Amino acid sequence: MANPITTAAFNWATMVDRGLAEAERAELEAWLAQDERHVGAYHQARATFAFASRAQALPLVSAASGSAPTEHGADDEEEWPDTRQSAWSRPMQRRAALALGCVAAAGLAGFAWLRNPAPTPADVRVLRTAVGEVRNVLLEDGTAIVLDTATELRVSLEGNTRNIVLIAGKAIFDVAFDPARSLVLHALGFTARTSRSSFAVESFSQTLPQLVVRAGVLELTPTAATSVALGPNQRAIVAPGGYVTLERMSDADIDRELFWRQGKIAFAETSLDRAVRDFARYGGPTIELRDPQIRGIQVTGVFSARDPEGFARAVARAFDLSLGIEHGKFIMSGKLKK
Amino acid sequence: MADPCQRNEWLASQILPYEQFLRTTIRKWRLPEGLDLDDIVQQAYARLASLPSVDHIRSPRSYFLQTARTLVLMHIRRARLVPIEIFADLSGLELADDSPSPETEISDREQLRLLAQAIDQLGEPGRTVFLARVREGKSHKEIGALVGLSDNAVQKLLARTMQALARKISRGGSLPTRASIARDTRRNHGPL
Repeated sequence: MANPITTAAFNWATMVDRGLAEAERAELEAWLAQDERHVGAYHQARATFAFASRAQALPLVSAASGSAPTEHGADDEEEWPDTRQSAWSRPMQRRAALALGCVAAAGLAGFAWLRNPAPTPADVRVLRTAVGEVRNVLLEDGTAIVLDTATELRVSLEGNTRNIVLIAGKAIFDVAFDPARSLVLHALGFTARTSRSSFAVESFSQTLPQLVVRAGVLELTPTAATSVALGPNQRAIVAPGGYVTLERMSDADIDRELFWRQGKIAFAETSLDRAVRDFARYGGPTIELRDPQIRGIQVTGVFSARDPEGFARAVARAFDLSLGIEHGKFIMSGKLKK
Repeated sequence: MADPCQRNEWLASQILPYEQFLRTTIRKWRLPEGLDLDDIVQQAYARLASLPSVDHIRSPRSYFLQTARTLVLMHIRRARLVPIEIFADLSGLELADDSPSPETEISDREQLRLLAQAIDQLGEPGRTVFLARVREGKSHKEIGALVGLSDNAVQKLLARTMQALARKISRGGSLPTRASIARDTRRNHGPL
């Protein structure tokens, strides 16, 4: 009976027995809603727990010893005293412990709590970085955030979930584990829910928002669409209409994405046009691309975010472009030479 | 919906120990190709779990079978192309054991014995983990500390152990065989 649904159901039943984090609860709800067979297999697994809890009435091992279970004569009819009543009533506290799993399962009825209310202004803290600034913040719950340049977050740790709204910009989160209170990140176009993970997220007006998971698991729900689970080394790009593109990333890809933490910008075959826009987010002198045909030049390398001039000079040298300064702006122009 | 804990207990004592008997019976209906026995059993569990009340059910086992039969018929109708003999087979099905006879009944005492046997057959360290959870009421974390596993590993191990246990309970040693023999005998004597 290697039925995959049954296996999944038993996994859920034991997770309920252990206690579910809020994100897991949402995941279980979603799983149960998918298919009637999931519901049936889940009840089958829960019934097994209920059946198994009768083991309390069995004279198997001395519970006090805590050692490996000893032998007993299961086949010997005489070994089974018909003292169910007393045996059942004795381990009350153990039964109470198992019943908890049942109570936890009882709550799985509605979907109301899937949508999280936005944080109320009263308990909201605003975190904002200036242009060119990269800042590390440690929240009271132990979650560490690195805010990239010109990034704004609203943080609210009151209540049943830890809510963070990404207004704009780019940030890395190392979420402190709290099984009872998951962290929900709200961004334009999606929310992300997690109880333990490390991820980077960006939301800019000109590009599609994206989220990269470095470690742990995260549930991403595009607005008005079904959620997807993201694991380590996965990138999700959210398009309007709730479409999510998932990509696998190598460790090197992720490292490159996160160079900005050290005040660096990394490009891998990035168009010059895009690279110049990235530099612009960090302030400093502006770079202007005068000839349209050079916008598509692909640049690769790691550059200091605070030194657009150094970047411009390196690119000009590499691609034999001319570089001039007009009114404090770096002007790049020229024809591509082989 | 009724108290889920009560329903859980009801399924545990009225359906689970008879699962193999129920499976054997359903298999005899000759399920149409593509229809999986597991699918039907899971769906029947789902229907029973979501009933507003089970107070009116005199024989949970025949109710389960009736539910399963309805589901099979539903699948057949949906499939449209129905081999005639399957329909005939199903419509002719008599659910004779509306009031379970003593032979088909597994007493509480036997259920306990069934459980003890099943636990006895569990492998280690699954058995130790299972007993620590169920008998001693230890948390997954406490068990992990005891046997040197992470909470996560304890949970996974417990899941596998419970599934193995369910398999053993539903096969139920000699009991379901006895039950199905009793039922067959009665069917043979049916037209009397």
